[in-house]
Amino acid sequence: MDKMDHTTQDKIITPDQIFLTYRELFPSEFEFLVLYHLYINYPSSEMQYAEIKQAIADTSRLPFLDTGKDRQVERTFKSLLRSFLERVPAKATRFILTPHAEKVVEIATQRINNPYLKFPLKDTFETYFSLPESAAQEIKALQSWFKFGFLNNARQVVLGHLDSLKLLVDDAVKSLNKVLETDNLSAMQMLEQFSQNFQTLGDKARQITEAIKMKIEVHYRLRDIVDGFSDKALAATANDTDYDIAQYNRQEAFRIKEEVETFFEKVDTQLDLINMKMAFAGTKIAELQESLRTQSRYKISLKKLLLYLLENSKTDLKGIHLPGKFPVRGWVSQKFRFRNIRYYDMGFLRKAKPFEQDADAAYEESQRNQFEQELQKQILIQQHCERLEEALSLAKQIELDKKLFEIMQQEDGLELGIQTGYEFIRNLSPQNHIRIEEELTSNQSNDIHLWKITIRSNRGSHS
Amino acid sequence: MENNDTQQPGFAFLNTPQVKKLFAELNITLLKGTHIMPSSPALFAILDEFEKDLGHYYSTLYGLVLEKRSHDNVTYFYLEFQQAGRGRLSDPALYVEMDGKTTIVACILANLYFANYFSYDKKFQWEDIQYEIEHGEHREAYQQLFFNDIRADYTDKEWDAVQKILGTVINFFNRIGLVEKDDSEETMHFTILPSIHHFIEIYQSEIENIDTFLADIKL
Repeated sequence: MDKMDHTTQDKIITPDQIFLTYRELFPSEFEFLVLYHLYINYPSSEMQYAEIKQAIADTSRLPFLDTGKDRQVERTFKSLLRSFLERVPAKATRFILTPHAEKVVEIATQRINNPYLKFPLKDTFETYFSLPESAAQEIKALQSWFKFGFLNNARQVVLGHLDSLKLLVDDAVKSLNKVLETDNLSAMQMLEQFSQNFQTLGDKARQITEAIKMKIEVHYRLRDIVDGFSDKALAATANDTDYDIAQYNRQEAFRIKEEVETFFEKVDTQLDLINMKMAFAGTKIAELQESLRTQSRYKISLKKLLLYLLENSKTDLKGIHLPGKFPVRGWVSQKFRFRNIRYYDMGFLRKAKPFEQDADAAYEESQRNQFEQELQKQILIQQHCERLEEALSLAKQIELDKKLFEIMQQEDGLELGIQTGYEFIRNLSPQNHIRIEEELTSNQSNDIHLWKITIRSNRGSHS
Repeated sequence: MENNDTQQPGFAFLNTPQVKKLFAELNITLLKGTHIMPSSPALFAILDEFEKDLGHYYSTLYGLVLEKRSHDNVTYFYLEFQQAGRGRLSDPALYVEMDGKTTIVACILANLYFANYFSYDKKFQWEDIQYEIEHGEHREAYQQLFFNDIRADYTDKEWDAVQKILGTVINFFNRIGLVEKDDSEETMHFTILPSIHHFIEIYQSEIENIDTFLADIKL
C-alpha cells in the first residue's frame, strides 16, 4: 500500500548537518538589520551593488549599533551573497533578496507585530481540527489530516496565538516594571490602563482555552479511530494478505493520537504559565494601587543605595571594600561540619591476650563419629582381607575381581570393596603370584568393571 | 501539644516525634542562616506548627529571633539577631559580617528584584548582570568598581574575574536561600527569591531615610 511513502518521508536530520547549515540559514544581528533595510526599501525589486553598500553603511550608523568601528562593507556583502542575496540572471550587476531572506525577515516582523491575535481562532480550530469522516476507515485520510490539517495549520495557528499572547504579556509586564520609576500621578493612570490591558489579555487567554476545549472532542474521536484500527489488527491473522497493513494502520493511528495529545499537554502547560504571569502582575497591580507611593519610593531609594555603594566602594587584590563610614551589618551564618574520621585498621596495634576457648561440643561429636566410622571401616577391611587370605590358602588360587564384587554387594559400597582389594594386594606375600589380564569383568548389575585379577599361591609348591 | 497557641511556649515540643526526627537538621539549617520556605516542606511544616515554641527556644538559648515573613505570596522563616546585640553568638567566631562583595551583590540583586516587581518569575542569568555593567543606568559606576577603569571593551579575562566574584556570592546566597540556582555551580542561572527582602530589612532605616543617610555619610 502506501506504507513506503510514510516510512521514507521523515528523513532524520542529524545535529551536525544542522550545525553545518546553520550559518547559511540565519544571518547575524547586523546582517539581519541590513536585510530588513533592503526588504523595506526595495520590496521584491532589483537593486544595485551601490544600493546594498549604502544599506550596509546606513545600518552600521544606527545609534544602538554605534560601536565606533567601521563595518567592512565588502565582507558583509559577500556573506549575504551566500544565501540571502542573489544575482539576477543575465544582469550581473543587479541583485535581489532570496525567497529565504524574505521569509526570515517576515518571521521576525510577524513576531513583533503578530497577525495571529487578529485571527478568528475558534473558526480556524473548527475548520482544521475536524477529522474527516473517512479517517476512521482509511489510514491515508487520517495521515493526511494529521500532516496538513493538524501539523501544518491547526498546530501552527495555536502555537502562533500562544506565542503572541506570551509576548504581549511579557511586554506588558516589562512596561509595568517601569511604572514604579515615574511620578505618582501618572503612575496611577498608567496602572489603570494596565488593569484594562490585562483584562483584554485575560479575555484572549480564555478564548484560547475555550478553543482548546475542542480537544476533548478530538481526543474521543481519535480514541475511537485507534480502537477501530486496533480491532481490525487483532482480527487479522498472520496468514491474511492484509495482516501487515492492518498492523501498520494500527501503529500509525496510535502514533498520531499520541502526538496530538502531547501537543495538547504542551499547550495546557504554556497557558497555565501565561495565566500565572498575568495573575501575578494583576495581584501586584491591586496591591500597588494602595501602596504605590511607598513602593515607588522604596525602589528609588534602593537604587540610590546601590549607586552610592558602587561609586564609593573600592576594589583591590583582597576584594571589594565598602566605604569607611558605611554601617557593616552581620547576619546569622554559622558553618557546621561534623568531621567523621575514617578508621583504617593497619594491624599495628594487635594485642595478644590468651583466652580459654569454649569446647565446641557439636564439632567434637561429629569428629568422634567420623573417627568411629573410619575405624569400623578399617575393621571390616581387615576382616575381608583375612577371609580372602584364608580362601587363597585353601584353594591356592582365587579370582580377586569376583571376590571384590561379592564384597561390594555385601557391604553395599564400592569404596569398601576397592580398599579391601588394595589392602589385600599390599599385604600379599611375595611368594604369591598376581596375574592381571586385559579382560573386563563386571558385577551383577553390570555397573562396575574390573580387570580380571587372578592370584595364585605358590606357598605350597615351595614348601 | 498541637494546639500550641493556647499554651505557654516551653521545651516540651522537643519530645514530639516529628520534631525529634528533624530537629537536628532544622537547627543546623537555621543556624547556618538559611531562609526556610515551603519548598522545604518537612522543615517548613515544623516551623509553621511550632513557631512559638521554636521562637522561645532560640530566644532563650541563643538570644536570637525566629523571624517569619511573607512577601509575594511566599512565607519564609529565618534567624535574626536581636536589636540589642548578637545574643549568645556575640563571639566573632559565631557570626559573619557581610563583607563588601556580599553587601554589593545583595544590593544589586535587591535592585533587580524590584526592577522586575511585576514579573512572575524573577529569573536571571550572568548576561543580565553583564548587561547592567555594560549598558545599564549605572554602567560607569559598575565599571569603575569592577574594572577600576571605564573603557569601551573589556577582555574575557577581566569579565571572568567579575563573574567569579558574583558567582561566589550567588552560590553563597543559593545555600542560604536568598536565590535559587537552576543548575550547576558553574553556570549562573538563578531566581531571586522573595527572601531577598531580608537584606532590605537589614538596611531598612538607611533605605527609608536614604537622602539623610547619604548626606550624613558623605560629610
